[in-house]
Amino acid sequence: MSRLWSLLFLTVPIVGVWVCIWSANNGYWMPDDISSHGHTIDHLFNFCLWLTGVVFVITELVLVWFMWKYDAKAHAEPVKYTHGSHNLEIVWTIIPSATLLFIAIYQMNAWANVKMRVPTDPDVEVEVVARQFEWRIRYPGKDGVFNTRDDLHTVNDLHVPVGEQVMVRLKSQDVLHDFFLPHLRIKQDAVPGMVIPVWFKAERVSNVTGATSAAYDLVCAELCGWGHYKMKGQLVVETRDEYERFLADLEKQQEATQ
Amino acid sequence: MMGLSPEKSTNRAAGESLRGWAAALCLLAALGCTKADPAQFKLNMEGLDPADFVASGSTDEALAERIAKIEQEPDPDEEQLSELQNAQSANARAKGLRDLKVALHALFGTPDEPFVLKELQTQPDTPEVGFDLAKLRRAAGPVSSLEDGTQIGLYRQHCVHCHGITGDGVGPTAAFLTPYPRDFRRGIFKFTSTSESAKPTKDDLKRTLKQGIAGTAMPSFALLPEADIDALVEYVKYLALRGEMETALMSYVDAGDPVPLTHEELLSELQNYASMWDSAADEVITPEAPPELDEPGLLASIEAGRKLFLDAKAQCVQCHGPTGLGDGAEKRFDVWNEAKTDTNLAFFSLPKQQLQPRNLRSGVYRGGRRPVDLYRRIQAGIKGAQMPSMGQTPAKPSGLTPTEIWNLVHYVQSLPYEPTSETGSPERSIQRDRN
Amino acid sequence: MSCSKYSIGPLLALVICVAGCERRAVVDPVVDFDDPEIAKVVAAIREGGEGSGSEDGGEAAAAGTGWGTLKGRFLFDGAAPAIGRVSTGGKDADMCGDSVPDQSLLVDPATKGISNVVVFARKVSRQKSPETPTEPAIFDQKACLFLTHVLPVRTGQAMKILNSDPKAHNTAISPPGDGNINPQLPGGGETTVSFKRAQNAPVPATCSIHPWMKAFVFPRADGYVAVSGPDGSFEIKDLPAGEIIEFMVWHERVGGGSGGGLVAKSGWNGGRFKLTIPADGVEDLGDIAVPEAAFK
Repeated sequence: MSRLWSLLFLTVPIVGVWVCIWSANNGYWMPDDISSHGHTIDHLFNFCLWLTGVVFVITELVLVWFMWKYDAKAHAEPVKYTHGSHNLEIVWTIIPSATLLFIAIYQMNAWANVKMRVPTDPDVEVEVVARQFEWRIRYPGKDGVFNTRDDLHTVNDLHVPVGEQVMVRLKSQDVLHDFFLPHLRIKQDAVPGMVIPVWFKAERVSNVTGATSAAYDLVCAELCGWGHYKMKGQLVVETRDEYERFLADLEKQQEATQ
Repeated sequence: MMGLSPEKSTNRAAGESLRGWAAALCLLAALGCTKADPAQFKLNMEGLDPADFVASGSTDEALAERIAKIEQEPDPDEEQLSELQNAQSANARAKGLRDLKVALHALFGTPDEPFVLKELQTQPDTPEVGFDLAKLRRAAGPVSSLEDGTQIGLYRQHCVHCHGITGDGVGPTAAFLTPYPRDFRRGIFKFTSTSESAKPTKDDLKRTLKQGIAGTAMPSFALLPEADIDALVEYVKYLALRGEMETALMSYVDAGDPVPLTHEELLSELQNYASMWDSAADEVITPEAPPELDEPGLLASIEAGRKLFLDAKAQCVQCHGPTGLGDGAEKRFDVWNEAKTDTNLAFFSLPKQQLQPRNLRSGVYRGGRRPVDLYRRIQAGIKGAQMPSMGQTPAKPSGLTPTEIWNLVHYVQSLPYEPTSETGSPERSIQRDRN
Repeated sequence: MSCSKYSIGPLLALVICVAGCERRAVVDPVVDFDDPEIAKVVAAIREGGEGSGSEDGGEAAAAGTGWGTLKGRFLFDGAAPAIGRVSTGGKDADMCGDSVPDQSLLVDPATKGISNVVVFARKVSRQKSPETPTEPAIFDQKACLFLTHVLPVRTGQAMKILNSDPKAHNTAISPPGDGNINPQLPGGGETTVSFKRAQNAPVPATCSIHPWMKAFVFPRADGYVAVSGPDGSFEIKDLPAGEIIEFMVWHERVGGGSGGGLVAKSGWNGGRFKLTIPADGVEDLGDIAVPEAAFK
């Protein structure tokens, strides 16, 4: 009867693995990646998932086996105490440390590409100011300089041209927010008092051939208050022509005198 | 107890405590799982003392009898007489309050089922005038969605937590906001394209929804589908009209007069207000186009604007300060905060918030940053707030001319980019971005 | 017994939860809209058939002929208070001075008359001159003060707002249910406005630039409004005789402005009293003593 508990514990690895496989095959997995460096990040994710997954399954099975074998009702022998095994402890310290060290070094390049190697000559610069609970976006306008009269302002609507290096100057007006573009694998905290560069390149408009523009989510990923759940904007990736047309439109609207 | 072994009695105690908790939880669940009442509109008791509207203990007949008896006496007791008369008034006011609720329910329905009189509904040939009941029904009611993805209950989904179910600007979130969300019940909206005394057009309300209001907690709803925004605009107009009608009927109750309960009387009262809304589109301010200016021309215009800013004719400095930082005048109140009093705490009123003249160097413009928006702010002022209308009108020939207003607009637009407003370091530019 | 130590826990939790549940004291009458009587009224309002309606104030329905006058005098009961000063804070000192007189309570030290008490008829069945006056009402300001403290105006009548000062003022009037008024008037400027709705009480007019400036405008449908002069006397002429008219008094410093408490006399209820005016005659209320305690 009490061996039932060990069987219950067995369902954990079984259900866990099954849900994982089912989700991956039914669309509940990573969003479409349209960025240039996203594949590296996805690769790292999968690597860690497999590594931890295998270790997880093995550990769970061992646990279940011990529960089954040494179940109190079925195994009447009294408990034997041991002073432990020094060798075993060395083994299960060194192997995980080596693994962690490996992972740390393995991902350094990916991290540097996304967070440290600031591109010196981006094609598009845009300033994004996070505030409760919206994204205020500012393009530098024709003169290419921020904070001049021809700056173009918009809210929650970030347009970028496809295939070009985009540099976002991320600021926050009040509290911590997080600039999260799931489809570009970009996530960066917006810290009040700092201007943080975030760069990316959208490799294609979308997976639909011939599409000239597509909208993706821009969400806040750092709890910032009561409106955090709805602090959503959109990222529109489009061809250069469409992008120029968008900017021209913004300028016309902003200079309206009628 | 005595006879039980220690082990058994601990088990028993544990069992009892478990049963106690289980029983308490079941009771709580039963209490909590009662069906919630449908949402109701709240009464507008602003500026009124709720104690005045409580009925006296006696009926009208009993009071009339006692008054008659006292009046027949040779030396009537003045104090008692006036006390009885006060009780009669209290009864009248309490009855009036009930009649008010009936009238409002008849004219406007409930938050779940909105209604407008047939005479006020849109006709197909004049879509700008009147109310579209289908749109109202989409915006009203509890949040749900149809099979094709159409969202119902838009107002409750997007607006109610700030603006409240009655549109009174006292939703649960309102207490944490500066400035407070708009109270629609006065039918006054600050940032419009219309003249000084006119209502906003539907386009004005749409613009506010789409752009949000920079520097406040009003977000941009640009990502909502167009049909949703139309429905919300309709519902905001509906709440505004309902609020205005409630104030009109409340003046009957407050005075002790009987509240009109016939279709004709209520319709004529309603049309007083509805006609103002319908004629708003005729009052849109379309400025004369400014002259095309080259660089030196623009600089001259900015200089002229600066002189006008400091001049005795326009007196901008008096409130906005000599450097445009908004530090010129003592802070006043806008019309919504002026009305907030302590007697309404039972109705969850909020403390008064002061109104500050705008800091023109921040580059944050609540009503829109386009030149035409700035023109309209100066021409017609800001309704409900302290900014007066400066521009020339047929009734006010001494106001500022269009050229003068364009000069001021150019000056105001140049202020955030002046060296004194320049920041240099990003931290200070954030400071400046605050409204 | 062990139950006292264990089962009080859940009980206490229950009590706390129930006690904490929100309970607001509200003056919001519960109206049962399913009640057939009420449903009938609602349906009548919505459809517009002959519905039940309440009679619309029987007082004004009585017919009479002729016209009469109402007059009286408001006297301050007690020592006349000195006129206070309000500091201008140095704003436009060359135009406004360091301080201006406080016009909210003006009592003449010689006659003890109270100025700016408004007496008006709430509803009348007929008017001697129902046409809207063609002459505009004048609302002027000078030396950073409004020259008329309470200005009665007819609905539809033009009101000219003047600025006789050298520098700009703005005159903000926000009449409920009517269009917003807030023009900026440069020195010597003027504008013309009018009111569509009658109000139940005078509406404040203020200046944003000079915040101590406050006066009142009172739009009414008929001309039966009187504002007491410096000696406290008022007179309303040509009132319809032979019908019961309800009058109301108002002063800006009394009882939330509604006039209740202004007079503690029998028949005066919350600042209101009912009278029948004799034809071709004068109804003289005489000297009405207003206690000091009435003013806030």
